[in-house]
Amino acid sequence: MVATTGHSPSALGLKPGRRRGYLVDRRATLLFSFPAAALLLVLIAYPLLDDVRLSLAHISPSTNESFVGVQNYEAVLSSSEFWNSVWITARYTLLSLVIELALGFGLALLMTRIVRGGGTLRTLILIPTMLTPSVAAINFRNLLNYDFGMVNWFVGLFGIAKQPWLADSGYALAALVLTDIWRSTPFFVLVLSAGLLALSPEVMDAAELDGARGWQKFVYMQVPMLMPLILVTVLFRVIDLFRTFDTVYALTNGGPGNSTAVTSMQIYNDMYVGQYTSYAATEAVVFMALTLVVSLFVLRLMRSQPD
Amino acid sequence: MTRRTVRALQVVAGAAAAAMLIAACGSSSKPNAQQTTIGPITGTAASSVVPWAASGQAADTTVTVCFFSGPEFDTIQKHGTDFTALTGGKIKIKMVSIPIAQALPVTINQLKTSSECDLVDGASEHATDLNPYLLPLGSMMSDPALLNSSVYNLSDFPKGVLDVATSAKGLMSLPFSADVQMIFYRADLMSQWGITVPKPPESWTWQQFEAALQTMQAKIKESNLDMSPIAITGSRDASASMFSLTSMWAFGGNPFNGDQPNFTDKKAIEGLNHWSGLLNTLKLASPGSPTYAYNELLTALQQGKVPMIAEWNAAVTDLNDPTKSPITAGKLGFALLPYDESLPANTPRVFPTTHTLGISAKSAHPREAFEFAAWYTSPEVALQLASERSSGARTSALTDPATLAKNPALGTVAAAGALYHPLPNIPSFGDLLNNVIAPSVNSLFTGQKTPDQAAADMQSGAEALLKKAGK
Repeated sequence: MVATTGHSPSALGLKPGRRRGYLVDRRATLLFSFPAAALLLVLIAYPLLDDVRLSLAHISPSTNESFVGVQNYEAVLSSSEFWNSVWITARYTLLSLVIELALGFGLALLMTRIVRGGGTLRTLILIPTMLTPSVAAINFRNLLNYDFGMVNWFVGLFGIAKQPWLADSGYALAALVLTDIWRSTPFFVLVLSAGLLALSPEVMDAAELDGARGWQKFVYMQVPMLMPLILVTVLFRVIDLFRTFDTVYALTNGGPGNSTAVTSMQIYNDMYVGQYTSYAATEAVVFMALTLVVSLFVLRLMRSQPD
Repeated sequence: MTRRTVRALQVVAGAAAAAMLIAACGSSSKPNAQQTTIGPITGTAASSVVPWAASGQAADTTVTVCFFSGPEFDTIQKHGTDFTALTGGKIKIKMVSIPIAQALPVTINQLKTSSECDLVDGASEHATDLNPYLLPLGSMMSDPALLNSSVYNLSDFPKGVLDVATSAKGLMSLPFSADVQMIFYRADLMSQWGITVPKPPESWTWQQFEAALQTMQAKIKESNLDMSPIAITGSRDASASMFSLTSMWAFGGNPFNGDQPNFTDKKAIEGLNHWSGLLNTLKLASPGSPTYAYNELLTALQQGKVPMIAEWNAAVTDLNDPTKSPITAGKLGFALLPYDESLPANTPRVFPTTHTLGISAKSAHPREAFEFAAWYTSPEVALQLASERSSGARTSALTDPATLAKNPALGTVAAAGALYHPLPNIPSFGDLLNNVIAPSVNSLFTGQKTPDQAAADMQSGAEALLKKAGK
């Protein structure tokens, strides 16, 4: 324990014999943590550094130059295709996140009122999150099929004409958001309902005694008390939504046109279909930086929360 | 820790455990891979084509074939043992699987950096990228010790098939599979509606095709059926790009001027206009067409939602299988893609998608690899493959009377193969299909762009792509 405090042995008032023991402990600590630290360094730092190295080279089907400076960065930063994909990703992320948070909170509040069978319900509600995203996307693609999809059959019951849902850029983005809501809202429900259950009943009872009612309790008590948990969940989801690839690939493949081509898909296409290794690596670095900025913003919000 | 906190943690832990359990159960079942049931080929004809390998004089060698996972891989693997038996056990075939989505980058990487792969797939759309790393076959093809050229009969391959396997250095790979796009239709409904579809090698002109679809639409309306006359693909993928190119070629368009993109060619735009016009102007195609890829076109026909589709020959087997397609099995007819009435009927307009075996320039066993490639693409093996699948690269296999009697669609496949259009010598052609032509075609089909705008997008996209590729 001493070794981890960061204080020197003399400052802690240790005798010389104890001091030697402290140094041995410290060395042992460093020695034992070294393999794990080295492994982490290799697993995390190496791919990142290699990506940066590739972004400074020019490797494509017809070129193989090991260093071209920031040429790729200039190309990516001035590419309307890349920024368009970032804009699509941002819209997709924001829409999904806001709806999932609102819906998730609502359902979590409802679930706290369930006296019997709440555990079973929580397990059942979690099923969509267990589905592989591409499987969920294929299911939605079939549901939204013009000729044999269940959605068109259903709207037909009300005399509404069949729609080619995924052929319209607005509907296609909505379909992507809907698929993610269906799959990921349970994650919010699970975390927030656990958070609600963990809130001190004494505090809530005191608020009630002070005259706080439903909405007031929600706005002034539950939301502020759960804010750290909400922000952590939002952080996870933002990172997850920014990385989305499989859902888009299986549901719309980026169409109609390029209207749902998110950045991950843009990078994949450049890397694997086009084989512009360096260009794709640069897109990855730039997008990682953007993700980092957004994540740091959320982290800052978290730190600004009172204890 | 309060009791409520403990309870909350229990809820989370319980739900997570249940989730993992259900997920584990879900992932335990997996559909069986498609089995190929091709018999051994070790007869006299098979051995006479590759005299050196069949003589058993080769040293003990293992030839490694690097191929993407799929039915083609399984078939090569299966016949690899037949070939080994033919060589008296001297030349063994080892298969290395490559994920299909990464077939090109992995293959190129292998060819560039190692000698592990002796043989690779020189697929038509990747040929320009792969050919620089392959061994030209000219000298081995003319060596009588290695190949009995009269039995092999190179002229049995349609010109279009050989063209995609040839570069400036000569023949670079040997074809064993060639797929085509064609029209599938419900012969029972056509006969009921009094519509005569020309039998290949005859085909409709585009104008006759549109008129026939309009007749079909009128009949559908009369019968009050929930149907569109045709489903075509305008989705955002390489297959839709290939179909759109066929429409440009059918009108005499020239979307590639040599090795340069030329999508704003007037005739090419006219072709695009007619192709997308089936949906947007004439309202003859299913409104689902902008999102329909291979499997959805198949399903639309299988479920009786359309009486006609433009589709790949690979769909024949499923559509004629009564267990999978009770509505279409035994009722299908096959036709060639139409052409503009101002052009001759034999206007090249079919996109060549071939699979070939090419020898790595770094191969340590080029003679052994050549013997296997030549044997696998020989007339006898081609006949066997055609009888099992609705595909083949050799005319003799596709027009063999016994095989045709078993699978009449092969006649259309052969006729369509004779209409292959040459491909341009453009690097990153797969990328051009997937990321430049496909989004533009999809924009056109969804009404976001006019044919002129879509063609302009293809042109600027192709130019940017060539720049990105370092050209």
